[in-house]
Amino acid sequence: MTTRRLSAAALLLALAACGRGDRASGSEGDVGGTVVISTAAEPDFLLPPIILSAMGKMVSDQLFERLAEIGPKMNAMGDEGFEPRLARHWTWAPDSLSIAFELDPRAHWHDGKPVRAADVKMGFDLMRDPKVASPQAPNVAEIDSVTVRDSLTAVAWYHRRSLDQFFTAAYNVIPVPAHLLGSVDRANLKADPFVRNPVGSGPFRFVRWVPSQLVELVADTTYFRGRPKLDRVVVSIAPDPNTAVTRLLAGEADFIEVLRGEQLAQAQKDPKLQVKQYGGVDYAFLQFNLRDPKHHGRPHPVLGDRNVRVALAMALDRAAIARNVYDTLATVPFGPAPRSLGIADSTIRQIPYDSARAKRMLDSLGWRDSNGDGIREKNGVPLRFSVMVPGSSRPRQRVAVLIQEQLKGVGADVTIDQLDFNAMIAKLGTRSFDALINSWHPDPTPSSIRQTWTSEGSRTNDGSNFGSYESPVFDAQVDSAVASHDAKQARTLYLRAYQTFVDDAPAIMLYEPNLVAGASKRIRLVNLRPDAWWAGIAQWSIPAGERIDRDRIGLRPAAR
Amino acid sequence: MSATSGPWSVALRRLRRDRVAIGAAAAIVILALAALLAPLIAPYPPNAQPDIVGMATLPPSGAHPFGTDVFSRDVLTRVMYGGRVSLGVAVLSIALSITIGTAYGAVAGYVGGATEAAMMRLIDALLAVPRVLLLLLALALWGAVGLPALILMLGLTGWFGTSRLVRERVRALSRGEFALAARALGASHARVLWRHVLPSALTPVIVAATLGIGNVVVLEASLSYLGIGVRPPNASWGNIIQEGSEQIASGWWIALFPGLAILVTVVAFNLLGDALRDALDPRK
Amino acid sequence: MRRLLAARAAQAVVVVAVVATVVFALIHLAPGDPFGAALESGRVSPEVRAEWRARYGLDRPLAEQYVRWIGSVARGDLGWSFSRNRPVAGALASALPNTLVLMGTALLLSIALGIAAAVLQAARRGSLVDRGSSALLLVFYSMPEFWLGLMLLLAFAYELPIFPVSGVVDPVMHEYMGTWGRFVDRVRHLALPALTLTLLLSAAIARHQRAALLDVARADFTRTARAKGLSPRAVLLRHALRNSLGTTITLLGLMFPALLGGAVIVETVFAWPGMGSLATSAIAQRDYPLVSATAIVGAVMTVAGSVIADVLGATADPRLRDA
Repeated sequence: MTTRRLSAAALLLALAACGRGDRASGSEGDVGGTVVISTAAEPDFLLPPIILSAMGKMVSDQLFERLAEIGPKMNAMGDEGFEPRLARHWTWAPDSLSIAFELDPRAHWHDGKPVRAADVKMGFDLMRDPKVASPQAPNVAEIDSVTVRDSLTAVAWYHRRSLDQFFTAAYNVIPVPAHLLGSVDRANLKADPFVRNPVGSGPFRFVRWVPSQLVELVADTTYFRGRPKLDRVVVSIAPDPNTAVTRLLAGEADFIEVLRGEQLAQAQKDPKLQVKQYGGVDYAFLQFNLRDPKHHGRPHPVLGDRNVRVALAMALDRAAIARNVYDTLATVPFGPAPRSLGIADSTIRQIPYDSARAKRMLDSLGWRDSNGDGIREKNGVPLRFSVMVPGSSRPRQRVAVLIQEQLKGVGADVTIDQLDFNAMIAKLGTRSFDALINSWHPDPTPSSIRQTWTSEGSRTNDGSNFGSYESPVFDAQVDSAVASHDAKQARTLYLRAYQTFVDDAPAIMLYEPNLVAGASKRIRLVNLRPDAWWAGIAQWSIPAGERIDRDRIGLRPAAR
Repeated sequence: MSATSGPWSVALRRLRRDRVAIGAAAAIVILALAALLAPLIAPYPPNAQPDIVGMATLPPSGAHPFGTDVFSRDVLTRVMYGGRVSLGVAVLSIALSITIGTAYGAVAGYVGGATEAAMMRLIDALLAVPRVLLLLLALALWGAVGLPALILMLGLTGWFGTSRLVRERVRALSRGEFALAARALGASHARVLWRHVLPSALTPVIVAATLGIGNVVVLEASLSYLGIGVRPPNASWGNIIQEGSEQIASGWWIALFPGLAILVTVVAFNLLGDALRDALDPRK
Repeated sequence: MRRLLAARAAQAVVVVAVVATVVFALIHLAPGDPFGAALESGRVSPEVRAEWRARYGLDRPLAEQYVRWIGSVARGDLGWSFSRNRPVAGALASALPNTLVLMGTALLLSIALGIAAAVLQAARRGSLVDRGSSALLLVFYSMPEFWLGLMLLLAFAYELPIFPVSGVVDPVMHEYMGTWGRFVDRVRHLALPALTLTLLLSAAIARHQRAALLDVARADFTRTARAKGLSPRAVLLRHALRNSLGTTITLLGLMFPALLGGAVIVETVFAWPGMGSLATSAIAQRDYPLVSATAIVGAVMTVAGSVIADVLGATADPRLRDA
């Protein structure tokens, strides 16, 4: 591969952005207004390298700019379609083992200091430092190091070439202010004041975070690519998902990322609201812990056996479950990746729904109900396990009850353990659970599967392969797919890996929802990207004629 | 028990003439029978999900008089089974708290002196803790608890008031002529307390217990509503309402019927308790 | 009066100490580490974990931990809240006023409403109004708080959206409102939760007050007043009401824990960020310093409530003054 230059289209876009930037700030035309985003999820932290929650990512994406943004086609292979952000320019080394990012000299932190190459390096170093134990470390595993060539040029060095190596640096390494984070205690980064009171480089600046109430951001009118159209973005945190939706229906909030069932129907009837389908990349699954939660050295007494897991999968009518929870707005995934990534398809052989066969299979495995209590046993061990669900997710709680009843039908006893999100994270960290209903919101690159399902994710202290699925075959297939240079070949290899996964059933894929957002009609929504509905917030606008009270606050700070 | 037959037979005669009391008792009997006989008379199995796509959240109809819930389960059946849990928990925990409260109050009232003062100060302190908060704390700390533990906790946090009532009565009675005479005739303390003092001290306890059942039904429902009482898939009136509260706009029937069951139960026990108190009132 | 106050204050200290002990015992008897969630997390390094254990004295014998803890609570040091990442005292300081506003409003409204209903009933004893309102009050008295809250929410926030669904103030606009706007905003948010508590509490007060009024009406001095030629209504209002007020105030003192418990549940239904919500979320997140602090503050509030009730009761009813 030879040196690549910025494409003409991207250059045009950059110029257009400069043109916007020259416009005076103030509440005229479509500039101005407040969007209140309703959610039941509180951000965990606001410093990119340590963020785990989607809401934390949503907020930090407004505060922290990337080197380059993925294009509307969501292509993560090569640099095609990427739009410049902090980097105005990038140069591939002739051997493709390094990429030099030249920073836009106008880019600056919200405290006025310019964005420098050292900030890129800091962003990477924090992700890589074992003391930080970044949950995203596997996402940058391909990068060996980031160095500073000169104050405006950072170079990412790779272990080997891969299809998504550009994406890995441009999208996953998020520059953070080195001048503010240089002397932090990295082992206790999560307790540092910065992670709750960040200084960013993005289109919005941080104003305040009132725990369990709100996070408030305001437009950075000096943002180098032109100020966002909105004046203010408020993330309003509701105590539960029901209240979050009700706030939208009651007009107290302007946007909610997902509506379903009766609430969707209500929103569709409401003349003040609009609904917008935007796909989504989330996929939910029932994940098994393959290791004994009490003695990690041993396999799980029930779920450690692949055949038991397959029988359990056979006992579940997943199409009906998806239908019950999401009506027609969800489908059963083909494998451990959403359809929207464009790889998983119907060629993957599925475990069929056949409860009679599931019963026969359990019988032949020696799991029999010998004492007549309706629950099978084998060597005195009952076919029983608990399923963790987060108290914040109603769909998952509902799925848990559906699964419980369906598995009871084949003689498996499921107890539901409804936990607070933090308590659940703690149990996941120590791997002390039997099973859980979880969902992933993967990056727009198939290689993110490393973090969630390969041995790499299970060994790392903070990896997200909580069930300790460690299959050398699967690992090798993923590795070769990630390392492949040819898109078509990569796809074949990924499909092979997915098939291995489905056959091993370390998790049973349940549904991938086709998400529908709800919003006030006065908001012009732009670019609700399936993987990140928030990607276009800086371009959202509210026409002057449709504003309500909260749109007229302007940029002034709250009187306190 | 010749000492108690007097007021009790009078009370019974009075109650039989009280139409409100009879109505309340009838309501209680009907609810209790519906709960007890649920496995025999309920139209469907309580946890079965016959068709989670086609039969979820159906409004009341002939086949499902109380409608179905989001899991296509019959709400009437679940309210009947929920009654087993809600009423069973209430009755058992009240029985437990009466027993503890009576024993504690009787001992305190009978021994008197500094011991009594200390025992009653402790009761004052325990009465000052909001019960919901205490239960919330205990149940949440222990994580998912089974029904026996729930009953135990409700019983252990419910006896403070009873012990006060009993102690007052025992104090008055044990210094009365009747008890003094028994002591003079050589009866032991335990015998005097057991045979002569307690039976008449129990009258207000019975009234308090009747009124208390309503309270515990509400309390259990509140805890289940907060997600720490009875766990799914077991039905109790509280957790049916909790599930229904999310469907309140499209499936109002899910939260309405168990709520009405609670309301009828509590009103009935309150009416019966009031009637019992009036009937046992010697001033009338 | 001073003696009464001193005695009650001493009693209050005992009560709070007992509560603190019970809370300590509960937390340490429960399975798991008191700081389990934070300490067990794989994300916290073993060194940090050891340091936390040492800092909170978890490596010391239980008795020593107990003495230490009581000591620091007595000094007013309530510790650090893991879930909120701030001092416990700060978390309490932002939640307590909300609860006091909710309970205070409900208390004042329900005393007025409850007594008015009782006087009306007692004045027309046995009439249709009396029996009808008695039945209605019994229904309210028998209702679970959360159920009534849900029904009010359904009626006045969903079907007829007059009131906001949750919170103390508009999360966004409040900071940007004028003084009057802020007041209205607060009242609108307060309306439904306060109404829920008021309906339940006034039913209890009215039932009790009606009985007390009728008792007093049978008493000798009322008969004397009647004999002096005062009309029955004047007797009821002037003598009976004044003499039965004391019992209502005493009742409120006794009901205070239940009121606080009711507030906890109502706060959950309406997402009212007070002590109840704080306690439930602290419990859910296993934030033990915060859990114990909310329990202690709850006990202090209850004790304070009963002392105030005693003092007021003694003022209202001279016979209780020397009790």
